[in-house]
Amino acid sequence: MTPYFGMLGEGRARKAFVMAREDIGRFVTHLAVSFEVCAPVDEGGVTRFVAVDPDGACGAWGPGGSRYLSTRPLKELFFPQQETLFAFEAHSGTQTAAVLRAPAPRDDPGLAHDRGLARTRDERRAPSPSGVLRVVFGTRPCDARSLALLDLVFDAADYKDPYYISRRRETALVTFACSEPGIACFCTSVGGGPFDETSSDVVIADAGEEHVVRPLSAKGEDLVRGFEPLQEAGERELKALRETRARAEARMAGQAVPVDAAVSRLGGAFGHPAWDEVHRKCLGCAVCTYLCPTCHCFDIGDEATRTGGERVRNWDSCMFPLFTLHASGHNPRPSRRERFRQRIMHKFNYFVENHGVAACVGCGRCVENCPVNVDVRRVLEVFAAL
Amino acid sequence: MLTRGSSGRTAEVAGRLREIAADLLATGEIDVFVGYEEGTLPLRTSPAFLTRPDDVSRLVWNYMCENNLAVYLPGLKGRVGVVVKGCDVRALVNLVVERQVRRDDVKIVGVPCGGVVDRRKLMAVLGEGQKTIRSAAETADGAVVVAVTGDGSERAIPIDEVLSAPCLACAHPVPIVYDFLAGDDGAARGACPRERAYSDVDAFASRTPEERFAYFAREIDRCIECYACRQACPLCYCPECFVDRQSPKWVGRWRDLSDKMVFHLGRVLHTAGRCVDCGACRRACPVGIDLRLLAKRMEKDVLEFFGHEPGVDLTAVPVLATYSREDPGDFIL
Repeated sequence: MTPYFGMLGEGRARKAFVMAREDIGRFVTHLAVSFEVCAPVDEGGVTRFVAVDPDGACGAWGPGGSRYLSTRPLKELFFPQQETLFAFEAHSGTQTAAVLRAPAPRDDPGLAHDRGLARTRDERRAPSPSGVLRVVFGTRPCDARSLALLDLVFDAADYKDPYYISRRRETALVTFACSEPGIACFCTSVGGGPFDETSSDVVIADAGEEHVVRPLSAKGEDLVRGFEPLQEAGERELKALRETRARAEARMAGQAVPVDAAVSRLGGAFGHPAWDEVHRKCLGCAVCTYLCPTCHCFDIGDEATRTGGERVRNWDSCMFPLFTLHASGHNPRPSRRERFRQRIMHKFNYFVENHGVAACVGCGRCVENCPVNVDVRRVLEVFAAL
Repeated sequence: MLTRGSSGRTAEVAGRLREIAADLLATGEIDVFVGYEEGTLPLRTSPAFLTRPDDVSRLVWNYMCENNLAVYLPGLKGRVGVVVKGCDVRALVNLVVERQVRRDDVKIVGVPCGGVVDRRKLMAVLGEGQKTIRSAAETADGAVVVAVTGDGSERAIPIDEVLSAPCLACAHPVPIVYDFLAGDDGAARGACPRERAYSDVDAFASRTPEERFAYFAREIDRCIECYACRQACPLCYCPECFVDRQSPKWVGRWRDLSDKMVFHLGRVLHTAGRCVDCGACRRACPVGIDLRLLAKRMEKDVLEFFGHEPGVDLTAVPVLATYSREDPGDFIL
C-alpha cells in the first residue's frame, strides 16, 4: 500500500514522491511553463503572495528554507482588499440609462492590491485538464485551510460569489508542511495541524535531506505531471517525514489553546463582564481583521463620475465604528467593547453555529501583529475558564 | 528574560513603579493605574490596567515598553495613574493643553528613558523572522541577548544598534513633567543635540523632488488602511476621522495611491506642531511604512518658522490654534 501521511485526505491513497531540496526552484520553473505562479515575496520586510517571474524568484521559500508565514494572508488572492464588481456608463439625453459592462483590468502600477491579483490573463495559456490556470506556491497549511472556511461563505448553497469561485476554481495550492511551527501558532487547537492537507492540491514536506511531494487532487496531479526529478518515495524518506511531523506536532501540543472549551461557553457569555476587561487595551485598528486569513466582511459602494463609474467591493472591519453605523446616526456597537466582542463572537460562536467550525485557523497573525499585544489565545482562555 | 522581568537598572525602575502604583491605588488617589506588563511573545510587553494594589506585581519595565500609554487617557474615566517615558509625557502635555485630559485627574509616573527597541531593526539584524525567537533577555550592561530557535544559539546585540529612530533623536529622555519619577534621571539616555536631531530629514531633503515623491509613493502604496497608525496615536482623538466621513467623502471607494496619500498627508498636517515623535504610529504599522520622515520634517518646520516645540509647556498655545503678528508670511504671494 502506498504510504499515506495526510490528516484530512480524501480516503484514497495517492502516491508520494521525493525530490532533492535544490530541485524546488526547478519545480517553480516547471510550473511557470504552464501556469501563472504566485509565491510569497518579501517587499521591504513584508511578505505577501504576488505573481513571480518564471525564473523562480521565490527560491528562499521551501519547507526547509525560510519557514514563516507571509505577513499578508492568502485570502487576498481570492478575495482581494478591493475589487470592481462591475462598471457602468451613463448616457444622458432625455433619460439617463446605465449600461453595465465588465470591469476594465486595472493596470495602474500604483495599485499594490491589484498586482498579481486581477491581471489580464495570458491568453496563450490554456487551463490544465483539471482547470488550473494559476498556482499558489508556498502556502502554509493554516492559510490553505482558511480557504475551506471562506468556501463556506462565498460558495454556499444559498449564495455563490462568482468572483471568489472563479479564482478558486482556476487556482491550485502547493502547500509547505510546517516543520517548525512558530511560537504564536495554534492550528491544532482549531482543527488544523502543521501537516494538515485541507484545501491543498500538493503538499511538500521536509524529509531529512529531501522533500517529499504529494499530489492530493486532480489539480495536484496536473502540477507534478512531467516534472522529471520526482522519484517515488521510499521507506527511508517516509520515515524521515514521519519524524519531522512528530517533532512539529509535539511542539504544537505544547502550544494548545482551549478553543473548544471557550466555544462551549461563549454562547452564554454575550453579557458577561469579562468583556469589560479583555477589550481594554484594544486600540480599535483593523490589523487583526485585515491580516486574518478568514475574516471576510466587506463593504460595497459606487465610485462614480459624471459619465459612469464602478461598483467596488472593499474589505471592511468590525473593529471600525463605521462598520455598523446606521444612517440615523445610531450605532448598535457604540464602543470598542461591543466591537471587540463581535470579532470574538463571530469567529468562535456565530460561525460555529452557522457552519459547525470556528472561523480561525490558528495562524497567529493577529497575535504577532497587534500593536498592543492583544492575544486572542488569552481571550479564549478567559472564556474557557468561566 | 527581557519580557519576564529584567535586571540591573530596569529592575530597580520596575520595583519603584510597583511601589508607586500600590500606594496610589491603596490610598484611593487613583481609580486605575496604566503601566506595562509582560507580553505573550518574546520582545513584547503589553499595556496593563490595574485597579487593585495586589495587581502591581504584574508591572514590568524594560526596553520593550514601546507603547505610548497616553493614547488611553482621553477614553478613561476617573483618576488615572500612568507610566510615561520622555516622549509619552509630551503627548500627555498636548492632551492637557488641548483640554482632552485634565491635569488634576492624572498622576504622572515618569521613567527616565533609556530608549525602546525597534523590533523591525532587531529582526533585520538577526536576519530571521520573529517566529524564530523563542526567548529574549536583556543584560545589565545594555546588550540585548536573543536566543534563536533551532540550533539554540544566542546572539548578543548592543542596544544602540536596535533602538528606535525617535529614541536616537530624542531631546527629552527624562520626562519634563511628572508627579513621581521612577528611577534616577542620570540613567536616561543622553539627550540628542538639536543639530543632530534632523540629520535624516536633511539628508532626505537633499534628494530631487522626483526621488522624494517616488519614496513616499512606494511607502504609502503598501498601506492597507487598517488605521493602526491613527489608533495608536495619542493625538488622533477626533471623534470622527476625516477619512471616515460619509458626507462629504474625502477618500474614494476605489482607494488608490492618491486616496492613501490624502489620509497620510492629512494626518501629518493635522498633527503638525503637536506630534512629539514618540514613534507609536510607525511601530503599529503592520506593513512597516515609514510614517516618521514626513512628520519629522513638519516638526522641524514648525520649530524653525514658529519657534514651537510641542509638548514641553503646559501653558503654550498650539501653533495651529493661534496667530501671531510675528508669524512668517514669506509664503503668502
